[in-house]
Amino acid sequence: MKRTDVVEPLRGRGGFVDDFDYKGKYVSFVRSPYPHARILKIDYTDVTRKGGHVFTGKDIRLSAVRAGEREGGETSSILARDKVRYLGEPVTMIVGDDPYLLEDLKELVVVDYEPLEPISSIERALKDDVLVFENLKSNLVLSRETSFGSLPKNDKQIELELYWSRSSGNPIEPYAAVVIPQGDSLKIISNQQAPYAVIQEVEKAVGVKINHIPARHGGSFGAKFSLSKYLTVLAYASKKLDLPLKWIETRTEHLLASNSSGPERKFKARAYFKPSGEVTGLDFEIWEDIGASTFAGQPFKPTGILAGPYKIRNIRYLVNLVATNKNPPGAFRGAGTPPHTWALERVMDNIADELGIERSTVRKINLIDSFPYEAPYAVYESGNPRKLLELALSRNDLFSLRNNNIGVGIATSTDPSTPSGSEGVRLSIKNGKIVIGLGYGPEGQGNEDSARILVSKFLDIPIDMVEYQIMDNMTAPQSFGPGGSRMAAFLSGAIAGASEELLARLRRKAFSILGEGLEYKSGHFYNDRGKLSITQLGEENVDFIFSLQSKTRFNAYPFACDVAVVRVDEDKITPIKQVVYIDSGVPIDEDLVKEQVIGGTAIGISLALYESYKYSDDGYLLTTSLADYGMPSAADLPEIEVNIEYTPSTSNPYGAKGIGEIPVGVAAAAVTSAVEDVIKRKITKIPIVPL
Amino acid sequence: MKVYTQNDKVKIKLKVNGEEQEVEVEPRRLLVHVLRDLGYTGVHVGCDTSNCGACTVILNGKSVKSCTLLAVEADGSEILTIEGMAKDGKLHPIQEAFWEKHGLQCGYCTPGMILQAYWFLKHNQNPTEQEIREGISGNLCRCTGYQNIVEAIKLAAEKIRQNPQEYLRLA
Ligand code: FES
Ligand code: FES
Repeated sequence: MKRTDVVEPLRGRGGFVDDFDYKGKYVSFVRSPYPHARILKIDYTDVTRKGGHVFTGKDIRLSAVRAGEREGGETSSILARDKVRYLGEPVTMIVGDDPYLLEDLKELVVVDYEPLEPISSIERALKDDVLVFENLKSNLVLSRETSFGSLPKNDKQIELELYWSRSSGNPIEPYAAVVIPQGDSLKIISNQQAPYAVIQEVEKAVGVKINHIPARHGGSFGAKFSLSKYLTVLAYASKKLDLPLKWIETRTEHLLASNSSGPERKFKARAYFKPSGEVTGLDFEIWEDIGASTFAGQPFKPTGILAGPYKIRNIRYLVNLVATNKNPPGAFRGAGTPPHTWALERVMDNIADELGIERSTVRKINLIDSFPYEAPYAVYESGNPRKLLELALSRNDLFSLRNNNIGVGIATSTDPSTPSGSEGVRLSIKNGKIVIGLGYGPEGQGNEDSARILVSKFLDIPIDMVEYQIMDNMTAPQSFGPGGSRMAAFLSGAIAGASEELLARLRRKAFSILGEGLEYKSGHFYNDRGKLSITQLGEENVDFIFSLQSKTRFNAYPFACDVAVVRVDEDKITPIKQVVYIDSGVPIDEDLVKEQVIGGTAIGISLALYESYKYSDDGYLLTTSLADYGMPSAADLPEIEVNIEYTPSTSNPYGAKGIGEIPVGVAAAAVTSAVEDVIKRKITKIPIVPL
Repeated sequence: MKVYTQNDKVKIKLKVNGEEQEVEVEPRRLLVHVLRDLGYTGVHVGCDTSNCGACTVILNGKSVKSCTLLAVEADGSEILTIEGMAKDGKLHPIQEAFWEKHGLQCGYCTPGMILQAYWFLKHNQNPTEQEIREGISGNLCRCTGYQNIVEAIKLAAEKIRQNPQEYLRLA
């Protein structure tokens, strides 16, 4: 279906944060030129003399807030105190009249640093002779083990050392926020992800009421959870100065210090198996480089898919969080599961090679074949991954391309698409229109159109009768918005509930006019005395909050199988084609499912081949532009074909599953396997270095 | 070459989407910011290193990244931005094609992408897929994996071929 939410952006009227009319001051940050240093003294008298306002980490007093359960973003101050721990860490926040003048003012801030030895790798960090956080006494800030069953140590085994490089969402629109004092409270317009939930934390941290207007996002991919650390200091300063403030992040700042990167992970992956190819146990120890932070959620999200789509029940998963002098992570599409999927698929490929059997055969033997499947760590409610694999294997058109230079790889996966939680909507009838109110800023996935489709289905009315509206946090009944891949399931549940309640109310009204024996069809109540459209029964507002809680944290498991075709020349790997078979649950809109799967697949291919934050041994970020980072252009990516083959989810009334994130890891895994198919050498790291 | 000092304000003239504009600018101010200040907020900023192309406009018939020019360098020029694409409220065939083929998700790269497509199609109305991919390789999109953008540009080429004089006379 053609999307209605994109018409304004098509005309250049997207309504992004920077597009709102604004009069007031601007903010910029002076950032650390060192990856690790003690701050000895900050002298900003010249800035103050020229009329600028300055805040340092010591000036800002925030209450401690415990963030809710989510992978990305914390609500704390972004400004360093005493010590800087990564390159680009904000040291002072300056308020001035205009972004150009702020650049001049920033030059007047003099910071004395005592440089310290930087830690830029897990290996270096584990020596513990230089500490990122002295008070923690070690750079190994946390180790946590999850285990099920017992490892079959007498079976055959393989052990792989694998490495997944650091990457991030890098939405084309960077962070942006406007904060305006309004009496005792503040109004904020921003592209904060999960704004309704996060703003409550900002309110607590700063001690002020906030009216948050969610603007449209120029993409997010998990990155914009982490805007919260900037929002707290902006809100603090705006309240303190009683001045409107605006901050737009630059790309360079984003690459250096957005606190939004995805996982950087080292694996020691051991697997146990029978000569038949049956995998009997998984023993994964991982070391997550969590930069200059003391916790990260991303390494724990794989606990929802420990054995992926496979029937493996003896599992140990040991997570080590290692602090280094890098930009702290946040969340990036999949929030920690893509590397896990990739590593599992490496394991499967290696077992097949070890036994000398087809890589697809190992998967056939181990794929879950009956649903619902109760894994030791989660319940996969529905699926048919074997069918997806069979469909993929039937693609002779792809497999016949294999030759000395062209390789074909396959991979299968699942993903914990929908974390337990809740989402609220407001369903209204206003001026003869049905309006579905949502409480987050649209990010581009088209959830707003999904909402319209769902309303039209649950109310049995034409979609043209339905509009959507974005609500601020004062109006929305409750919201989290996109994150994980939760919206398909949550919007289905919330809109089904709201529709049912709306129809119940309208039925009572219709009854008072038409009396007994009412039927409902196509937006009308009728009986032998007459017929009334739901828009003829006055105004209504129904707030409905859908909650989903299950025994384990995640719900609505999608499945995927990818076939990757790549060409490998002497010094270059070219992805030629990627085919995806996806179990999306009941698709709310096939076009939207395909958009998401294509977009996620493109990212997965790109992570396998191009993207990476690289740091020098002495802790300096080497990839300070999108080009250096390896952001792909149209010329770098192949044709992507998506085939939907679904089983309905039982977790929500529509049977939908979340599919925004599952495409990433499986695409990267299939590409890796395809490259191996040509070079006949084991790949243990991504991005794969040209040969 | 004229030499400016920092506090000079320079008066420049631009013709944007056919509208005459006269503004005083700081010599160091980038064209993209001046266009946005003038209300052409469809011109986006996605980077500060000339990589993303979100700021692409057509300047004197050429596609340029408006973040790589100082406004004073553009004095006297004619500029086409996304706001000048639709006519009397009706979308330009390239915009229509992006809509029909799902060539945008968040829409942030879209104005730049559409203008780049305009310039590209002006020079090649029968492009191959590879030519399209290379033709837009200076414009980054994080949402779509480019696939539907490529499809949209193919469809736009078809639409434009029906009346190139009409559809390609904007700049
Ligand atoms: S803003 Fe990125 S190239 Fe101009
Ligand atoms: S549509 Fe979001 S960046 Fe292109």
